[in-house]
Amino acid sequence: MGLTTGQIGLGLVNLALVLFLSPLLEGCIRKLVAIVHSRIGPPLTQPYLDILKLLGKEEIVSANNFLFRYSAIFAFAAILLTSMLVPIGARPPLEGSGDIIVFVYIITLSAVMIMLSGVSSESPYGILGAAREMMMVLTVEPVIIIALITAAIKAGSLQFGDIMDYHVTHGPALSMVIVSVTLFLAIVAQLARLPFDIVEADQEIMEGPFVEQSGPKLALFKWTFYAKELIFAALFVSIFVPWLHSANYGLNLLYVLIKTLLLLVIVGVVHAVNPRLRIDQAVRYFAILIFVTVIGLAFALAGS
Amino acid sequence: MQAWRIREPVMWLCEKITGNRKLLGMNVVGGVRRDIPKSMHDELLRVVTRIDKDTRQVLDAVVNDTTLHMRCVDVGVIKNKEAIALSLLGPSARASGVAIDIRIDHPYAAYAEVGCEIAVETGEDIWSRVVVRLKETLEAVRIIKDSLQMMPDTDIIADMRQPIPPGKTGLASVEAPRGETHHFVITGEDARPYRWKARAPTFQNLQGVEIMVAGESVADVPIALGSLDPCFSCTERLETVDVRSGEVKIYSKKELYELSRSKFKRR
Repeated sequence: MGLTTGQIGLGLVNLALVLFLSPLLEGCIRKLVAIVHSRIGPPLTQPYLDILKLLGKEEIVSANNFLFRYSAIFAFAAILLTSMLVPIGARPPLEGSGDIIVFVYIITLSAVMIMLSGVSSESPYGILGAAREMMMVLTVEPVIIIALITAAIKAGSLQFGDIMDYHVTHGPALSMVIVSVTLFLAIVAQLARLPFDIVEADQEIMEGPFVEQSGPKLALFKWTFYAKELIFAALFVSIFVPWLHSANYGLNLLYVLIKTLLLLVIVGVVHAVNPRLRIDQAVRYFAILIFVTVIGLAFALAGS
Repeated sequence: MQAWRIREPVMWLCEKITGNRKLLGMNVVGGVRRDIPKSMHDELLRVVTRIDKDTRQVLDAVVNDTTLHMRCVDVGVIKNKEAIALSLLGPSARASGVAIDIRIDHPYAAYAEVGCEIAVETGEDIWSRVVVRLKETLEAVRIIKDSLQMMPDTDIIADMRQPIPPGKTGLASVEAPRGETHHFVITGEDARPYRWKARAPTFQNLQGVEIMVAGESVADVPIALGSLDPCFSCTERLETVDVRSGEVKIYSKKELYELSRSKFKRR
């Protein structure tokens, strides 16, 4: 089951986009949030500068165990692997090795690594943050899984490539509309954006699981979050907003990036105008969302 | 964030009137240092009207926000009886239904003539404190406008050429943004103070934290503490409790100095 050169090339392009374009998208969101707040805000290249600065800083270690040393690397590696499992402009390069199920596993791996970095840091704030991350994962992941499975049921396949091709040719369906709304909210929570940035709440628990990470490890965690933005947004627009499609790879990539930017603009506006929910309120909110997503799934099973 | 934007013109005005943005330095014994020139009255009225309009805009935008209500209503509750028992002051007390305000109870400066309507809410939670403060902002604008209109054309500083006799006591009570502030002075030789004590309202308001956060989740602690608007430099005791033995120790000023300096002594 070898990879063709086309797939290897595509994989490298996906990797490069996720690594080097995602901080620019994050910079756009930050600038937009600042404009809504009536302030000037940082330059668009600020996230690049943040990562570069952190990579050069001295590391202050609070605990000397395996998890604390490697959780940042595992989380980052998981996200980089995910970048080759999702469609950004074309079928995913590693589609022979992974489909929806593998994607969900690896996303959960990155969330678990965040939890473990909090627990292994031997700081009470870290443990509080890890507990919150656990509750968020348990309620947000089911929404993502059920939404993706709804899309898969309509397309009759678990491969992202097949799902994408199916939805391009078929128009909007009721189940897809219901599920796309809940998936959007789940993505806002996965990207740690207000009103769901409970895990990383700086004013309440001092950055939660990341309180003791510093220097290059913190840079990797921040980069992981920026990469997640591009991956989730590109996945969402490829499957749920696939119209405006082109057979030409370059043109299609451009369309996907434009749609991704628009989606992230909406995420940014939601972030700028909402206060933060408490963890118990967020869990209750997502329990209702799981219920709504299951209704969407039921519609898909019934044929619409 | 919008509140910072609304506040900025006030800082510019303060700089034009006093030369400083925040710590004004206008009070001297017997009066104030500088007058507000007639040429500035129009600008003053303009800025103050703008603040009133912007504050009402922000008030309209947030008063019905569901998530804010979810986080603030019925959180950080201090009941009326507890507020009276702890002698809470300022907006923290007025939000629990206790109608105290030195501007009404013992009017000073020109408050007897200009009048002052205090905002009292009975919600007893963080949301009530927010509403009290917003209403006070609007009332402050009204007081400024009325005072400018009623301003008489007299001296800004009393005749202080007589020497101040030693051994006299003076007590002044004003309504600061956080509550009642009292300053007590005993004059000494050479027109200098012999003793001076300031009692800031945060010293009492902080006692309310214990009641507000007991049993609540960690996420509520910062907003509950913030709603009291504590000024930590106005507290003046450090008390430590040894969790294992239950022993309580209160540090004196000398011990506090020793504690801080010992961290930096060379070993």
